[in-house]
Amino acid sequence: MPETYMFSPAAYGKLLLHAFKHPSQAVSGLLVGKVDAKVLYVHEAVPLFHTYSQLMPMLEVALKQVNAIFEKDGMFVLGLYSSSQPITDKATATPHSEKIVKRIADGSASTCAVLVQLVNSSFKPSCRDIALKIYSASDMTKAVSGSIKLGYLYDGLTTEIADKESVSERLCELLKQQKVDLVVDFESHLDNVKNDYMNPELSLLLSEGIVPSN
Amino acid sequence: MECPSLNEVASLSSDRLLKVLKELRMHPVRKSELVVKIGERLIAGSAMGADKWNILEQVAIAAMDVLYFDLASRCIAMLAAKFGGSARRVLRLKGMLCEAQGDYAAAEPFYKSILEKNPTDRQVKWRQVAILKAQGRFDEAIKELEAQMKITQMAEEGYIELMNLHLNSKHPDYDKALTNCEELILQNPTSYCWLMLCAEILCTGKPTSTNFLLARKYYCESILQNDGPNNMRSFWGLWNVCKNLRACGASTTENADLMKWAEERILSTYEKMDCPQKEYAALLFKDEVKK
Repeated sequence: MPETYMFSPAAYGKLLLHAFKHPSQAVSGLLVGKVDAKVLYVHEAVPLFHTYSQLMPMLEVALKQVNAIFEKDGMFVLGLYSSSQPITDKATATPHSEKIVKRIADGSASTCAVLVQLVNSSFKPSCRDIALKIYSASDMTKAVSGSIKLGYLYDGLTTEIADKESVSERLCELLKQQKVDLVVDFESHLDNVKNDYMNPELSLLLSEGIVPSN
Repeated sequence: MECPSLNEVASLSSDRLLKVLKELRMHPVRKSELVVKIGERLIAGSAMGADKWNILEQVAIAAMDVLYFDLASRCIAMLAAKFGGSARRVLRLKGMLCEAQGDYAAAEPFYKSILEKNPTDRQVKWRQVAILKAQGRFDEAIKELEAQMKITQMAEEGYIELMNLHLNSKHPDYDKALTNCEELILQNPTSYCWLMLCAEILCTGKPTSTNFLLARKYYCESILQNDGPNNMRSFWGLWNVCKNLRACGASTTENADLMKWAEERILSTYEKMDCPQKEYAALLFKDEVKK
């Protein structure tokens, strides 16, 4: 079991913005990255659904597409992120998200798959903590004890970002500028295939100028 | 429907804003931030016109949705001044304001007093279901809503909500979710959405070849109703269910033909619309052929 769970600023920002875009609904998406004995690194968050996230067919299609997209970078789908509908939700694993995470674990290169559950009640401008709870496929009854950080993976080594507040500040700025409308998930892509569910513009906006510490 | 963005509201005329609010009342889409921004401008300028009372109700509900409780209270006070504090719709709004603030115990008496005089008030009965849902009491919410649906059988929103409740419950009941989706098809036989959703529920429940075959029929019917590029979900669904049928040994020529047809349609739409992921779709199809 990894000791550290590291999210790139773009991945962390996207999954939060996806939840912000659909405040009255449950949202979910895939997490892509690499894992070794010490660190699980989430390089990218791919938003999937904001309605009917309990249904399997489009999840199966999205899983195949996303794995195909990242294969050349040596990365794969290593988990699911999910935000439940009620704001007071206790951020525990639901039977449905368990089913999906175990499916991801079965199909992936490593059997270490995770569920990242957003803690809805922590989403306030005053709260600068990383509002996530992580569950491992091997035991979804309790959150993992490893530390959650924001950073990058370069040449096999992970580095935390220099300024821990910078990502929350960037998110607040983007929310004020209504950039949350830019978020495209797999569902909106299926309504209009011109919509790019990899959200490249958002990735840039979320990571520009946010540098790793030396 | 085309809605202005939040930044555009300040520059639009009152007439245009009134039209937007009217459209949103007639074809409800949840755009609470926009309604609040427009409402604040119209209320400040006393520019609500003949629809003033409907607009105040609409803005009150939108304000509750975005936690602007002061604005909601002001709108409710104006409505109470006009229609009386015990008017049915005013009482309902007072109950909803309590709900929005998380005080369900305070909301319940408002709803009970409405139902004493109007026992068949469906919107208020639904508020009681909403309270159960907000507290995570899904099983009770389902029981309550099913009892109500036995009396009012034509309410589309009721079937949609029941379907969602069954899918979201700790022990999802896919058979019941499917029954509710089928009711929606009965009420809207040409709607490609409910046909597609029935197929998805079948594929999610028990993964048997019987279910996949039925799902395939629903997908085909959905595509017959709408074979345009905005129904890609059905094309992908058809491809996926044909793949699943092949994997569980129920492969036939018809299945192979349908799968190939779906692939061709997906690739041609992706090409026509210059989809950023078109090369990956082609890769997926090549991979499946190798298997």
